[in-house]
Amino acid sequence: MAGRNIVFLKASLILVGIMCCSFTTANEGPDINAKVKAIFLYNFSKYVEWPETMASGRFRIGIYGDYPAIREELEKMSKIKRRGDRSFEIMTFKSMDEIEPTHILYVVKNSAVDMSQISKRLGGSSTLLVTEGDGFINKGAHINLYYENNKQMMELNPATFDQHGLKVSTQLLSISKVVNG
Amino acid sequence: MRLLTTLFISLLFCSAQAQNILDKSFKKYQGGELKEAQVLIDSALTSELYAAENVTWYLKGFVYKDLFKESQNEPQAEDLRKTSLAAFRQLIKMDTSGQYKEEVIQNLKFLATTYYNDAMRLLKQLDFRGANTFYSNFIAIYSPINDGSFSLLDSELKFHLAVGSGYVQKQKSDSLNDYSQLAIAAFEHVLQLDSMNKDANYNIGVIYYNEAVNRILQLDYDDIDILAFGKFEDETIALFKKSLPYMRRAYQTDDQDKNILEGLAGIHFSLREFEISDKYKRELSAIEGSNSKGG
Repeated sequence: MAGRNIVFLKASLILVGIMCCSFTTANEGPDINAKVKAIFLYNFSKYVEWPETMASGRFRIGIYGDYPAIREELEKMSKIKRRGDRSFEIMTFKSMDEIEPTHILYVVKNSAVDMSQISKRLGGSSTLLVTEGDGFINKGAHINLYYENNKQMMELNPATFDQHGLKVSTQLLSISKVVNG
Repeated sequence: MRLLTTLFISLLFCSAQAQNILDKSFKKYQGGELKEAQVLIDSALTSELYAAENVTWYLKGFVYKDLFKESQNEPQAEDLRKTSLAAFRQLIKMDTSGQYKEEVIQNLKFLATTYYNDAMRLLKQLDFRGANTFYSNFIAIYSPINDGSFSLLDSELKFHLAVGSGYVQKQKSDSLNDYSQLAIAAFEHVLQLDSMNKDANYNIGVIYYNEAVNRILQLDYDDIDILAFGKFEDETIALFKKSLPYMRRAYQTDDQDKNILEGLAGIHFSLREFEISDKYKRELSAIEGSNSKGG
């Protein structure tokens, strides 16, 4: 007889593998600090006025130093945003010799940054110099970015703005730590 | 073979009429003709005479259980399973001598486990309501008969971890709705049962972290003015800080887990605590280095 093999089949519990959330890390994914800095730089273009001599052509933002993430962010920004009727141009300077006047020059944080050399390269141009280093605000930078209580902050030196024919808005001053003002 | 013996003995004590129809049903069952066995056993149970016999319910439970097993993933499966369960439960009520107790419990455990497995299967399909219903059935059946040999706590942890992970998956495919709170609730449920559960802690940490990161990365340059940016950052920093204790607890349970080390490095990097971030990156590199050396 082809009888059914009647035994108690014990069902085993199926374990569903726990699907871990994916983590966006600084090494692999987008760098949020680069995005924040790019937002700051974009806003500087809105809250600073440049002299008439720089009022035409593309609005140029230069990056001095190695920080691919911020270049990538600024490139993205330049494709979708304009300053008035002017488009943005993002430039990268890998060495001191390459530096040339732009509307904004962002100097990547690096212990080897020589502020006097940078100032020399820019001469008397109306380039808004944005840095990230202790004491740079007293060495020619117009705006220096720093972190405090986990937040992106900035300090600003109004005297250097005047020296280079730049005009900073009172709103930007109101949210900055004013140095030598 | 145990069923065969039990049935044979039971049938000896039945009335001749009962023996006749039960014997037919059993033979059909034995021959694999389940549909015919089903018709016969259902027919038998329309009379009080058969319904008064333990063996009738015993056989019915088996017939419907096997029908269920043969028809899983078909629409009628759930009715068959319920009928089998009802038959075995009826038998427990009637079996005052406990003759069938052990076997009935084994069958109830089997059927309960199929509910658990179905719950997990539905979670894979992101059918949360169906999964919860089946999981509740599993608990309702298994709890009263569990003799401690099986950890219901363990299955509770696994189920709710899977629910949380399911909502994370759902979020990935449906960005228009927010499922993160549902995912967090499921993981928090796990933590109420096991506060140091690595997966729950890790996943909640990642959810808060990713929410902060996404808010920043998805920000359009004109969405927020720099004058209001400080307030915006307060909110994202609060999320990063919210994620940190969960990721730390996950680290306490496993300091060699690369995902957790990446997580801690990422959170501290986002909080601009670069030295601490670098410390975890170094730990991660050391593990990766030792793994590559080990082949």
